[in-house]
Amino acid sequence: MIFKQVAEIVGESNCLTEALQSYAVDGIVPKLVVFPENVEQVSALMKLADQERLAVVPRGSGTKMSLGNIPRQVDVVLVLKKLNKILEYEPDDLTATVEAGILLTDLQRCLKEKNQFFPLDPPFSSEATLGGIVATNSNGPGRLFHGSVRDLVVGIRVVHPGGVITRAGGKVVKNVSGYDMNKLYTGSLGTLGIITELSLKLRPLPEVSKTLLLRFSSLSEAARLVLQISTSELLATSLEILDSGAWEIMSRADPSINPGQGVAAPGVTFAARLEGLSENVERQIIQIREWGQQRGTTGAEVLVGDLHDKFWEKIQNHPQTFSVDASNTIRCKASLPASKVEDFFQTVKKIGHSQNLDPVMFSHAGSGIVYIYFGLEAVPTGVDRMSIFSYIIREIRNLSLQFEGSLVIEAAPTELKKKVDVWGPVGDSLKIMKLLKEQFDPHGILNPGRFIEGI
Amino acid sequence: MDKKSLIDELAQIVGVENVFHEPEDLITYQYDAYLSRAMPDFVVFPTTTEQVSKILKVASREKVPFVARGAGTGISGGAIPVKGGIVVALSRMNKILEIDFESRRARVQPGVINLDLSHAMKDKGFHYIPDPASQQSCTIGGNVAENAGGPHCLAYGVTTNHVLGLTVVLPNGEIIHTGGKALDYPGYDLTGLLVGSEGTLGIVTEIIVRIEHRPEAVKTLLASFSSMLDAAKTVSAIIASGTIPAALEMMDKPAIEAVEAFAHAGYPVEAAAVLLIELEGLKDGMDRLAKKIVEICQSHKAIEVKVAQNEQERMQLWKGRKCAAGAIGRICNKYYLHDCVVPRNKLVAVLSEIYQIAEKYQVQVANVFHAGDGNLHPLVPMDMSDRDQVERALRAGDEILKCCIQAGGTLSGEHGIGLEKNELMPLIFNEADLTAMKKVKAVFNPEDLCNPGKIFPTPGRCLEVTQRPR
Repeated sequence: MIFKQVAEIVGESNCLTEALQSYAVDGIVPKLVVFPENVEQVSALMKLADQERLAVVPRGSGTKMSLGNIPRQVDVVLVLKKLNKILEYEPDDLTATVEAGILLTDLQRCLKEKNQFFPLDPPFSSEATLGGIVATNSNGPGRLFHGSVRDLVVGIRVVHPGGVITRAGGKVVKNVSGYDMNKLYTGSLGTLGIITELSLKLRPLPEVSKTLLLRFSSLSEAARLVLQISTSELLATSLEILDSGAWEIMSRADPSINPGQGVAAPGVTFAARLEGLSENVERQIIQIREWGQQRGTTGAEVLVGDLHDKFWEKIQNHPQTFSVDASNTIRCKASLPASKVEDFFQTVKKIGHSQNLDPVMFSHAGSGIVYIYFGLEAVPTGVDRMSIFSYIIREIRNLSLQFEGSLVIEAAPTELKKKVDVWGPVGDSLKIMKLLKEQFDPHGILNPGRFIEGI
Repeated sequence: MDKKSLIDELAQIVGVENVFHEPEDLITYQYDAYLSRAMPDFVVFPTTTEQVSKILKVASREKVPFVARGAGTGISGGAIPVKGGIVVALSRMNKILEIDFESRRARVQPGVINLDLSHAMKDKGFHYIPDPASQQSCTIGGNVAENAGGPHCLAYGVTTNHVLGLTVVLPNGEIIHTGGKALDYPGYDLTGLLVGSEGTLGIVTEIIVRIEHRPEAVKTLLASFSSMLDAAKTVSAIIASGTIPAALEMMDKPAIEAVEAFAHAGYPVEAAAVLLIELEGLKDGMDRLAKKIVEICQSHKAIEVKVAQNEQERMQLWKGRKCAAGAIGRICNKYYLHDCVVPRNKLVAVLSEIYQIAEKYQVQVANVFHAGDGNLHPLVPMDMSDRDQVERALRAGDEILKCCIQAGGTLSGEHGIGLEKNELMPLIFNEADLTAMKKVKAVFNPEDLCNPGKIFPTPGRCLEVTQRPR
């Protein structure tokens, strides 16, 4: 019996066999949940799983289990949370090596003591693990200035099906020795191997951080302002646009982020995060405000200290901020050339309105990333909801592709996943991707079916 | 297929004037900037992706090896056709296809010269950031193959951080597209995997890169020290202080002397080391930041800190750094240029050891390098007519590399593995690590026709330094 073999590897106390409903993926309940304590145990588990052809779902805190198509099979959920140590931290080199199961928040707390941070601000800031963040290529508003996962991971350790353990990259910040395998595993959703260790590039904390909020009556002016800034000498860390629905949810949940009611009028909210030397933060606030006034802004707020932190925590954790009821929310992410954000916003609104829906939308506009939230409840019962949403998603996806971008459904009810591919088309490189999957996971035991095109 | 028919078939694809096959035409295509050479059988000059595709279809049908070539400035032998065959010279695919300022992207052919791209955007105040020393002649395609770096990569990242999409002709002639103008396309990050693959996975025929607005203000400082170790400590102190300069370069005494004799950049020849520090960003606060850097230098016993007062003085300071390798080339008949990387908090220890190693083997060593990211470039001068001295220089080089690796470093920071260090790969990667990379190669390049003999150690070869090809 598999349980016995698994228990021999990790110990009985590290196996769960009952009440596994909360580990289900799209409703498919695993037979076993294991909590390995070290890389050797992960390796032994992967050897066993490959021999026995067990479908393995790697997992950190489980914050992104909604991502992906419906799995073909789920046997073992492999939880990495016990691999949670900081293995090396070299403040003078601005690098750290950590185990994959460490919480981002725990790492940040430790780095903060040395006035440093890992410059990544993905959703689920208090629960997400580093391994999960890298495996799902999860990023946040700060990517405009600091880059994304692919820019910040310099080394990786991976356990492959069959149990082989490999390393790639290194601990130094510049490295061209061999293929850059870090990139291959980043965003691969655990379909090529299980990430157990990561070496990261760190940054010093900025001297000053402030937020400038501006309100516009039209989306167009907010979007043009973002482009004006991103194509100028200014150096904003984040440039965001929130539609009126998104702003309403945020300010209702926490009125303190709008202390002077400066952005109370209905319309579109623009937000800039400005960080660095105090002189250049002040100068940027003045300059952006001035540009905003030239574009007819109807209100402004500057957030500092706790309010600044609170505002960005809400933006960073947008799935929690904007999904009032997670199981009844569809969350889509469009990635577009930055110049297309305005057109995209307007057209998606029209598509929504054509079905009497008003999605909540917000954007890391400087980076061309747009999130769209639909509440299932907005469609009256008795109507075929899934048909309506699959129609809308196909329309939005076509639009994204037309703009040379992509659209991924990050969270949706299983019923909808039966009708729409969550990833969308991959194009003419699909064959290479499938061959890579075959090379690294010949028996298809890792997350079968969840990734692109059945991988 | 005989040679004549192959020439005819290639000529049908690119035109007869774009196929070289006479020995006298092939001579310049047997080497790049590495020490080794090998003669190709043909050189072809395609101008379109479709032509590259047709060429590779012929090559794979006839099992002829092929190598892509940009400007031939690579220093690890990436463009050397070790097994002969076809050199696919991309120098005529040199068009900038699109510049989208609003989205901050440019789409270029691989033969575009690095600096030409920045020049094309100068009027709009934009530039392409990665700036390898050879940026006046090297191509973006070559930069992609080698994942090239440069002084300003300290703050902004190397080539891979600036490349977002590729059109690639696979070794079997199939054309694929990876990434694009936007971020986060679904599927595996093949763009990231291809950048730095040294032309062993296919031939890149179009590249989408990030472009950025130039910084508003630049401040360049030159700090000189009476001891190399003080300079190295200063680098660590600057990084640890929470400032990441745009560039942080270091040169030691032999390098300074060579540079001054050649370029008269105004470096103090009595100094044991200089640091060239460049700050970029908004003008506001820049003076305060510069003052902080000056203070760090002074507290680490800098004998002088010069701040460039205008663009001319700034260019003068950079002139010394940029011509350093050339200047050293003037005083010796050949040198071995290394490219190892160490953690930045190990700089002091590793540099001391490098000098000890040089002393032990009685060779000279000059250090000119990207100190800010720990990327060392020890240059070991060699007199090729003195067999014994060459031998000592190579042994010293190997020991330097091993010392860097022991300090937690790596084989190459920006030059690539190529022919130069493929036999040394087992020093940092075990069999399983290399097998994972070979799986990638097997997917893209199963017949090993595409740039054979690079990156991976040759089976059955041992690590003995004297057996390395050169």
